[in-house]
Amino acid sequence: MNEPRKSNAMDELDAVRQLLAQPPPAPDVVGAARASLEQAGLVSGPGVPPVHLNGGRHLFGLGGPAAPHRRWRRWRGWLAPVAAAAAVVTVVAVSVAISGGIQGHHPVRSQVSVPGIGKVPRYFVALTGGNTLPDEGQRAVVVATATGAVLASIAAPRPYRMFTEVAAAGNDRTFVLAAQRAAPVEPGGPMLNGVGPAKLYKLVLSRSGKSATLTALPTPLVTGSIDGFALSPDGSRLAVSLQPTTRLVRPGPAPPPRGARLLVFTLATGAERQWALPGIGWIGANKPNPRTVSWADDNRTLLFEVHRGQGGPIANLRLLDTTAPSGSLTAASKRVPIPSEDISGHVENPPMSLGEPLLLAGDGTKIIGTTGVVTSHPAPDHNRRRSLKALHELTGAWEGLHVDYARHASRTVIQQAKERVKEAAVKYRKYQPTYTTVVAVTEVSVRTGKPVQVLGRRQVSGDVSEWPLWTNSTGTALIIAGPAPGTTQRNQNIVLGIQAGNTFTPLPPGVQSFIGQSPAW
Amino acid sequence: MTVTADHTGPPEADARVIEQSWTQPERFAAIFERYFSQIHQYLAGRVGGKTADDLAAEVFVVAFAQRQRYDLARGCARPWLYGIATNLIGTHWRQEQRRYRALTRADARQVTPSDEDLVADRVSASAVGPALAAALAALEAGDRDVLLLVALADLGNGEVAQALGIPYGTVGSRLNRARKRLREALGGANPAAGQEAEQPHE
Repeated sequence: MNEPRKSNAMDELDAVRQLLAQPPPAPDVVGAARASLEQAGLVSGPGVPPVHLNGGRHLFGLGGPAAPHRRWRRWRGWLAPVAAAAAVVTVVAVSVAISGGIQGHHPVRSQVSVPGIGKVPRYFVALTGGNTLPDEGQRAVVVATATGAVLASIAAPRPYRMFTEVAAAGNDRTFVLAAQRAAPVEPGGPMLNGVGPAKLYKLVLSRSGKSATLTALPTPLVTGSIDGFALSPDGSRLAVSLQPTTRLVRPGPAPPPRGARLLVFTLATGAERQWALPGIGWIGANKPNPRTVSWADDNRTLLFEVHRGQGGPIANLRLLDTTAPSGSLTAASKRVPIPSEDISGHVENPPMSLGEPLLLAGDGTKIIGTTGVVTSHPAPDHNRRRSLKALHELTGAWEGLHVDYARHASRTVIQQAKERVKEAAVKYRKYQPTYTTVVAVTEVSVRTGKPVQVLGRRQVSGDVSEWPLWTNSTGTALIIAGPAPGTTQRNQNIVLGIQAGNTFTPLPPGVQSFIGQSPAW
Repeated sequence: MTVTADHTGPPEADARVIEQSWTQPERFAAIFERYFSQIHQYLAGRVGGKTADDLAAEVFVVAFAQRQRYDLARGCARPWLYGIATNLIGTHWRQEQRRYRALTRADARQVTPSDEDLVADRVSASAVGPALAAALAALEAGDRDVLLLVALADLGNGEVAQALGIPYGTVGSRLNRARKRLREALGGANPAAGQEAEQPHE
């Protein structure tokens, strides 16, 4: 669609070019910008290493102002799939009994301390590994929600190397996993990327909670890049949305996304239905968040999201009766009348801005999502010029510190340089605006597309978002990834917690380490 | 106009680099090195060099913070970065208007900072600068965004649609409208062809 401009466009456009032409930025400007990006890397969130530019220069324990966020943000990569697929391979189904992995497991109810813990599933499955287990691939771990205790750790059966998707049924015991082969992110790098067709496995915890069984499902291999992955509440059917994989594999510009499909497998038989999305677009949330595919309690009605057009600017939520025959996805499903701008992420300040993933309430009549209203409070003595000057002072102080390190200055000199950096950082922060956000979990009618009820609401510091990961049928108990109580703009702390009404209670610290690891309840 | 200083790899690798930066943030440095200069020049064209210094840095800080939202189906990150830059300009419209006002003066050299000397030379040669600047200032913000993404950033219509999150067709209509306004402001003359009158194309 990117047509080159007409070559006869020599006229007012060229005049504009001449009028506004500017020389390239001076080296010190580039240096200052690098420094502010490094600074952003330092505050980019828990567990995220800082950015170092210019061959790994180090910044030393410096806090800094949060990156400027000007809008309600909805997506983070911690639900991101690492999927890519190419060739077809034949795989023999395997069955692995897992026992002994749950040794030392105590009934979690005896350790209950989080309000509402009895209303949420006792177990979840997360995908761990990644950077820490480059040679073993990504494993599936069964975790107790109340304690964070790892009850079992399961490697993908060979020839697969990693689990790349996981979804949970509503019975707290049944999960489906997708396993793929692995490839290094880059030649010689760690084995991180799931490649090739995905094989589906069912993981069932025993009723006593003392053993788990992994069984290969009789479903066909899933070929493509998986965007959505959801198990029906009764565990009988799996919905998978996917797209042909072309990206990141061959050189050249990525073609417009076409050929997205929604598959529904009947797990007992391996039977498959599939619906194709016509035209350019994809199924699922705005990438990389893959989770807006959600079942109603009838195990039949499926909520999913469609992004149409290059870049996906037109977003629809749709409901599919999965007993319908295979065919065109748009013909088989019905649009929920929520305006595109409220879900597309392409509009700066949409009226409702529903955060993803979106969940379908048990009876299928309402959608549960998060909304947020951000208020910006300019710094009392904000002044662009002074702010810029302060930034330059800060970057100057940094440079000084780097020089001191480079010349192996004494500990005292380096300490003084660090103090200067800290002072400059405090001064710079003075000019930065502050934000408060009212985050709410909202129910929206699938019939009218209008909000019908706020299930929970709270005000937090900073420009922050939250994400609903699980809900009970009525939305009275949810598991949310959201800002911890007492979080501040500078030190935003996103945690997994239980939202019941207006009360948000973080889950125990042991659970928090799974926040970036596709936890599925 | 497009400057690709420190271009360390083909643009189609952007999606791959950004995906890698999810887990290895330092990878994002490649995006910075690849695009900082051109983003800065775009911003400088719109809000002036001094403000652009600050805003261009902000673009990359924002992009870094939002890197996990990047649609990996888009191979090239340019439209994404220009979209962020254009959004940031939206919060500095007074600054942009001041710049256009300055350029409407007969002798831009006297009223603008030294980094605009280069501009003044070129503009005085064509003598259409003041009228053009006034017309730019008078454009609807959305139309101006489209026009300047095409003129300054050299984006194609499809890339502009991506950058601004607007339909492809809207880009065309906004661009046509903006160009028409500018031509009207220039008395229908083609500034690249002296005082020779020219019929509008569209």
